Amino acid sequence: MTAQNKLLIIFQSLIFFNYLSYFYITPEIIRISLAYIIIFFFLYILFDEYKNKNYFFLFLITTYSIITLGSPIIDWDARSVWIMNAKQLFYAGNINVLFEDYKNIHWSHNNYPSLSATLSSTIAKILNHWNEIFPKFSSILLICAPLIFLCRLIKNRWQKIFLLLALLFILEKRVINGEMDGILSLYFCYVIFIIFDYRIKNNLNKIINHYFLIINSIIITLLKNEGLPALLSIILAIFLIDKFYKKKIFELNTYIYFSISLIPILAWMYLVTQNNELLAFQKVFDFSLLKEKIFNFASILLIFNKLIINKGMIIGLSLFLFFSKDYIKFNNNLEISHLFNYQTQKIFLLTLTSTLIYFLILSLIFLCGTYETLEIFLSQYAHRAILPIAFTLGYIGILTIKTNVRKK
Amino acid sequence: MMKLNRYLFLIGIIILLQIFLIGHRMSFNFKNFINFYKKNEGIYEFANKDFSLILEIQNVLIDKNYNEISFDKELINTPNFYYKAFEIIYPIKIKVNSNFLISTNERNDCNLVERYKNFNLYDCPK
Repeated sequence: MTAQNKLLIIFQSLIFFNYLSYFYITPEIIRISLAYIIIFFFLYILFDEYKNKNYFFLFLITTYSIITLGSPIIDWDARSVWIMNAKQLFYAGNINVLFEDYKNIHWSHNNYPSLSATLSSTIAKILNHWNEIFPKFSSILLICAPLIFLCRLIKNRWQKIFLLLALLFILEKRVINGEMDGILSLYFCYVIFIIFDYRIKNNLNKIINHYFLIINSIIITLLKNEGLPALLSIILAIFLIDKFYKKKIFELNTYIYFSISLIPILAWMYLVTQNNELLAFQKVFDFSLLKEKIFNFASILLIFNKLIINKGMIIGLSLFLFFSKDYIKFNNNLEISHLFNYQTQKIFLLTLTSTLIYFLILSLIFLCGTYETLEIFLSQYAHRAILPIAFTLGYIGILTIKTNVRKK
Repeated sequence: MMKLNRYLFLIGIIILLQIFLIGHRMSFNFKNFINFYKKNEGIYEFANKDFSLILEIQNVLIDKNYNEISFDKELINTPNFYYKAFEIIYPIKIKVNSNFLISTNERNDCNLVERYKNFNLYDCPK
């Protein structure tokens, strides 16, 4: 475990601790102190990256910060869901307000996981009043850890340039506009590589490594509802690879650590159910629709069309196919497949299986969704839902640019 | 080498343009940037011209120190008015059975508290 990773663990633990603090009546002074500590750690991480000459990351964070602090919250989801939840938490200081106000403010989806809303609410305490700009800065705090980790894996100049292009063209404004789709995409990719890092370092006995995996798995599930299927698709992918591949990725106890990381989201869902919000879940999904739609070829074609033919997915897929063509081409030739790094095969397999399973889960969600008509549901949501897959494919493609795909 | 620099220069321009485009799509404003720490900053962009009425109402309610308010049917039925009003004036809550009512029309069934430029504030004892 590097010193940088330890710093990230402390930072992410603070974010999670802040989330937990909203389940209790926390004195104002503690919340303000927590806000200052989180900002202090954020600045310290920036300083640490400056010392490590990670100028690429600093450029990204600075650019994102300037745009975030200079723009109001315009997008519907950001405004009416995440920041509105944060505003309620800011004034009430307790998670119960989300359930009490639900009847008056059903469009605000108070039943969504509220990790980012709690963070926005806490950092707004620094100003001691509410405004429509600064709380959005929580997005920058949330993307800090995945960006550092993903930037650290890339080595040469071209990889950095293409990562920048992928971030700016695939995720666009969705990383910093207050919505969770871009942040979820970064975390989806990040968790896949953490698992890989966790395995290849082979120091499974250190508690801190287990904790690093658990805290990131917790955060991805608490970002938004799609976080849970995203994590489950990664776990399922590992399970399937272990089942059919010679060398196992994980020991059995790693599945236990994953189970631990599901506790916070399950507790949240239980809390929501207890507050009679289960109806909201039932309205969104109706599994009886699956029977009708699964044999409706037109619906399936429409879902695939909207999920695949959109800007983000086309860029991500193009990056993946263009840069990994050497890998795919050579790997098909059995005579030289031994030239390829064994670890690279695993990461390819893990990424592709996870993204495929997540894609199938998304298709299932669209098939069972009861939100108006399928066309409206897809036109409003498909291009955002696909971002984790698009970005992860793009990133794995970028990693194969003149890299250790082949054994040296 | 010259060719490589030319490519880098071109990519640099593309990256810069995309950053500007993202800023534009997020309604980046230098005034917001230098005032990001001020109270209610950014709210005027959300409650654009059509809903400047909500900002006026908010100011009145803060002055009067009210905790809850109700609106007449005409205002409630204005498209997008209710949710925008709810989000902007929060933590002041919109309640149907509140004594205080905002209306853009004259009403005889309630006592007029004060007349403003674009709306009237009524007290309707329940």
